Amino acid sequence: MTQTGALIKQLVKTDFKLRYNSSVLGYAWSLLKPLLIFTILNFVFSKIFGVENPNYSLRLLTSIILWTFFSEGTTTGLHSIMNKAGILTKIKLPLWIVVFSSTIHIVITFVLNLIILGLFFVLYSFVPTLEDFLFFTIYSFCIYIIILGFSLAAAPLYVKYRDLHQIWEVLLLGGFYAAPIIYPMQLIPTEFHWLLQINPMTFILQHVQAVLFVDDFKFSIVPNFIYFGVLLLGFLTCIVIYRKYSQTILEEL
Amino acid sequence: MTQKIITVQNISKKFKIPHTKITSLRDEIFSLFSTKTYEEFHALDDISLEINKGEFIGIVGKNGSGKSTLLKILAGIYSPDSGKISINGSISPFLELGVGFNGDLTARENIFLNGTILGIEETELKNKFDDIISFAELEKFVDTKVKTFSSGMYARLAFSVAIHADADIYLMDEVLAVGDISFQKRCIETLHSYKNKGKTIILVSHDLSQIKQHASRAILFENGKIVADDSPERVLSTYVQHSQIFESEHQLLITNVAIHKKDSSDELSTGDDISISWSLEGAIPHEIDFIIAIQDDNGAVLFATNTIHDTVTADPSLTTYTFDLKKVPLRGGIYFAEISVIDKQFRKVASIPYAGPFSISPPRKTRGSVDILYNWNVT
Repeated sequence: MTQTGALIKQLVKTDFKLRYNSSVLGYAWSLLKPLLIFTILNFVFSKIFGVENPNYSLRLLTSIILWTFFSEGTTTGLHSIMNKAGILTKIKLPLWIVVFSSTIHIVITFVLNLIILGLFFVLYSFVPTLEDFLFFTIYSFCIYIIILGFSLAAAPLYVKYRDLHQIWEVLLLGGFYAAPIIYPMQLIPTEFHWLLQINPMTFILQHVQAVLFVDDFKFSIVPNFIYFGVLLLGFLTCIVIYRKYSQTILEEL
Repeated sequence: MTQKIITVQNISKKFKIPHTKITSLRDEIFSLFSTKTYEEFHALDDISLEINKGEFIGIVGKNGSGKSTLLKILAGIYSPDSGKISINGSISPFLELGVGFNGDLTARENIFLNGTILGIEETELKNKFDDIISFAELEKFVDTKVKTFSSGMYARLAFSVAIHADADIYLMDEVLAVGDISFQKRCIETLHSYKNKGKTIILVSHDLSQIKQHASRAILFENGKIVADDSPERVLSTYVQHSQIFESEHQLLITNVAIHKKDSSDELSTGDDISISWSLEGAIPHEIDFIIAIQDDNGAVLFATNTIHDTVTADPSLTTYTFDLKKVPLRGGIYFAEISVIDKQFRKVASIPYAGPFSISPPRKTRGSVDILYNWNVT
């Protein structure tokens, strides 16, 4: 067990080195990316289009950081097995360890991004309550579950179907616009809400925004339970896919 | 008390090689309504094998005979289609020219990553780090990215990491195909010393002389099946008989090869009379001739002769044949004999490569390719 821990630590370290080329600047860049996206979108929508919404900027930044966590996490997870092909074809290594390690450094980047988000909260003198923190953590954890589940299923499939990453890129772009990130949910006519609700991130973003920024928000338990149920079912399905493909996939690397 | 470390029961492995390989979801969708055709390739066909602790096993066979597939299955990279495998020990694999390195990482980083994967603990890895680097002779390149390494440097580092893992079983595929001769020698000597420490070594090699010298048992693969599993001497003889296309249907083996000092069992030294003896087993033709060659440990032929040119008629009914060499001027070192049998149509019907080996000792302070006994009459 301790050896598994040491292995995960070493793999996470490797991911950091490879991604940021062991440079501080490289690391700063990964933190800057969501901030730059935020700056552009904030300028376009609140200054040019003049979207009227209380706390629009904070809402936008929070959503972008959550979305970045989701998109970077799933993309990194998708590539995790292929990226380690050189090692996996030579030494036996449980594939889940490789997939799991790849998500860890995304989590670390996310946590560091949250510190920046915190600074913005201070800047806008917005104080979240302890309850807000708790909900934020729970919903972030939900995103992590989606990332891990997706990665476990998609990484072996990607070995078989090499066009998955193009497909996923397009889906991510679609998902970005089909989620209440740059616009609030209320702006969308109700007959199109179902389109947004297919996106698993919509529910999370909606709730995080509501918990943080809507004062008279009433938390209803039933939809949350349904959502968690669907999430769990999806995660189990992903594990089934992982188990089906992980046995034979090494032969195709 | 021998202890079984690997038991392989009836394993088979088939590879389906599709005529058009589907590598994308697009291909998969477009090919939904077309029939998928493929060739089947039996990489391993009902293999059973038992390996005891402390054995040094040499695996030989042509390319595509299943050697590497077996090693990959033992290493857990491939899973067999059917059959059972039980392995009671940790494995350090060196498959197909290397352990997996990442080109963008430095030698140091790769050692830590691979060492950890091979199960070496961090503190142990720190202690062994200098040994790993010095064995690979890469002291100057510790913090260089391995993608800039030459294939020899890469292989040396890979091998060094693999043998420094404290495993029970070492799987070595074509280790000796890379590196210079002195490095190859160190590799094989290290493996040999591991065998003496009770470790199990499985070595796939095309270098028959190394297998002959170091393996305690050899296995010959042909078309996914084990066709011989015996002493290296007998297996190599079968291998040579199978791989050279003998026009004869005779199944003839050369056995009981012994190379020793004539009339004594002392160690051989330069200038001794040496005697080579052997027996024949199987279908012996009515008329036979012999070819004998002496080779050095790199396989170079130093001396060869045959009964045809010497107009000697060999008697096919003898139980033991001997060949006496007088005052042999070989330098101190390791040598092999190669014995072949020819029938009356000059067809090679049997051959044993790398018989022996025998060693001449001790090295004397002379130079040159031979070492002749001499006297100075200058005083």
